[in-house]
Amino acid sequence: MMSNEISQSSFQIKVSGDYYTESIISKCVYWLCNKYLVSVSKSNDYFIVDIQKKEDHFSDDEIEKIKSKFYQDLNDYKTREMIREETRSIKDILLVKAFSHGIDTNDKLITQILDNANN
Amino acid sequence: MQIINTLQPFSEFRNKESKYYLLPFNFKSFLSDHELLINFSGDFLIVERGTADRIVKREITVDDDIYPDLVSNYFISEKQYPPLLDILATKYRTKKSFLDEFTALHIFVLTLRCNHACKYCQVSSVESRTPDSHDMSIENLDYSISKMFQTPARNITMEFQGGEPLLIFEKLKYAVEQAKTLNEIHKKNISYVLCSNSTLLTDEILEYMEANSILLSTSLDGPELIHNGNRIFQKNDSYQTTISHMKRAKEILGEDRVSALMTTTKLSLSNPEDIIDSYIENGFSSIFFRSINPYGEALTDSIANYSMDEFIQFYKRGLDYIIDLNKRGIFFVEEYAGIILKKILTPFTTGFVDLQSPSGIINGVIVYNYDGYVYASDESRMLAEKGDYHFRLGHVKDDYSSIFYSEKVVNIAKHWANEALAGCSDCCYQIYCGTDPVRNYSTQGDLEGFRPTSDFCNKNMSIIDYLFELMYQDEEVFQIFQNWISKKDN
Repeated sequence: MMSNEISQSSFQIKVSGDYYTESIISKCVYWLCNKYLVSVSKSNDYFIVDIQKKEDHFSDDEIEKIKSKFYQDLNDYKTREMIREETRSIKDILLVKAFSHGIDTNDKLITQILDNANN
Repeated sequence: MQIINTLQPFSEFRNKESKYYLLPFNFKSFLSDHELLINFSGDFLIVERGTADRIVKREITVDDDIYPDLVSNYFISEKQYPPLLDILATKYRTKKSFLDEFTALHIFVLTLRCNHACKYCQVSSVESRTPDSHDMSIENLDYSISKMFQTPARNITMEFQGGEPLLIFEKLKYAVEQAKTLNEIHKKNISYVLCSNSTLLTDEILEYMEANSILLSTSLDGPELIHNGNRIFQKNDSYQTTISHMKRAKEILGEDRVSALMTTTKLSLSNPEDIIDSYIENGFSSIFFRSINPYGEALTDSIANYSMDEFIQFYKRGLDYIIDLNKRGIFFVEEYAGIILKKILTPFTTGFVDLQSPSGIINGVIVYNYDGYVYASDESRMLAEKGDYHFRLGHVKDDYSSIFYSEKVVNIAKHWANEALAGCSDCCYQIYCGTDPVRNYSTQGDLEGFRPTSDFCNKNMSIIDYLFELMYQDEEVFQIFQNWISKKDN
């Protein structure tokens, strides 16, 4: 990921579309929408996140803070996505076990578990 | 014969290949260089920043100190099927046990009339209103009680609210007697709660309450200046009357059968210590710091007009003072923190409907209004008083299924699980928190809500963050919190 093109009232963050999914970008953007006008577009293999100030102009310090938070969120949501994908099946099993009534939980489970250990 | 016990070091039992499988967990940054890991059932670990990433990338090895903690606390598993998977499922089920029985809290708004004109009151109650049009009729009361008994819940609470329900004490008595008679058939465990400002309490009423095990939940906003500033009693001094009647109630019902709720207004914000002291002076060992509900009159009155950030500042200052009292040997609990701490520090949950997912509305609470209409929650009927009937589910004369399983309820249900809400679905505190579609609707215009500007989210995130910080930074606070939970459970 990289950032560029700082102007007075808006700036852009360029994010690799190979590594970060649209879902991850959306989750990061969600938490900026209360303060800024944010749009996301795709150009080749990159997402372009355009962040505009609703009123007034950005200070350099404000831009740095937003970028720092955005990059941190990107990595955290990426990690969460990896956890979610890898544990999807075991989570389903846990929910079934938690809310099943009268089912013998010693029965063999027939749900497939993704084997992602050490991938 | 001498037996020599030769225990092998723990490392001998470790999986030498560092091969592990992930279990569902979430995380968030904590303080400047730490991370909070929270597993599927709400157990937590505080670790170095970046640990979640290292876990996922399989950079944690058996030689890391954290490895046994991650295994024993169900963050990772050495086997594809963790041998104790059922225990984790049971812990999760226990955290969601409030769902076991469906609606347990049944609120009966016996009247809209009141002898107070509190500045923050959501329903603008007036004593002089006509009883015919502002009291619940016997017919609607009978239908409401009948609906209550149709709930699948075995343990139910019948809560009487107003207005001021003691303005029609005879009708309250009728409701209790009717419920007892019908319960000879239904055989449920019923708790009775009277929510009253206490000013109309008499020995006769208290003796009836004692004989029928009716709990008293009253209002105390703090010392005289604050209480009377908020709660305008047309005929008398609200504070003095409430205090004297509350003392009498404790004598007849017992200390543990009388509780008080405070509502935070602008008058409270700079005086948390005085409010806490007034509770102690009046014999209470706990307080519930309650922010004002953004409904009805409260939306417009200046005394209720403060920001959530101001409330959070007030809350933290009050909590600090309470912790200091505990450190000095005075056992005193902040109830909201106690509810959250029980979820954090024990496998259990609470019946507190505001912090449940799926939401406490309908699943945990239902309101039978004075006019016979049924609402999803207390706040829902307050919206109705302002002409918004979005959460009116039907009339007590309607079929049970057409009220509780209607299309309207199905639509509400699409937005009542934080597991499926934007901003909540990835939140580390999801298992401790809840959802409130009514509040989303009333403050943000739709059932879904928008977390970045949500007061509900701001409040709960800030308070849970603060509780973790306090526990982590001061071992004595951790012990105090443990003490709160164990004492409250006894």
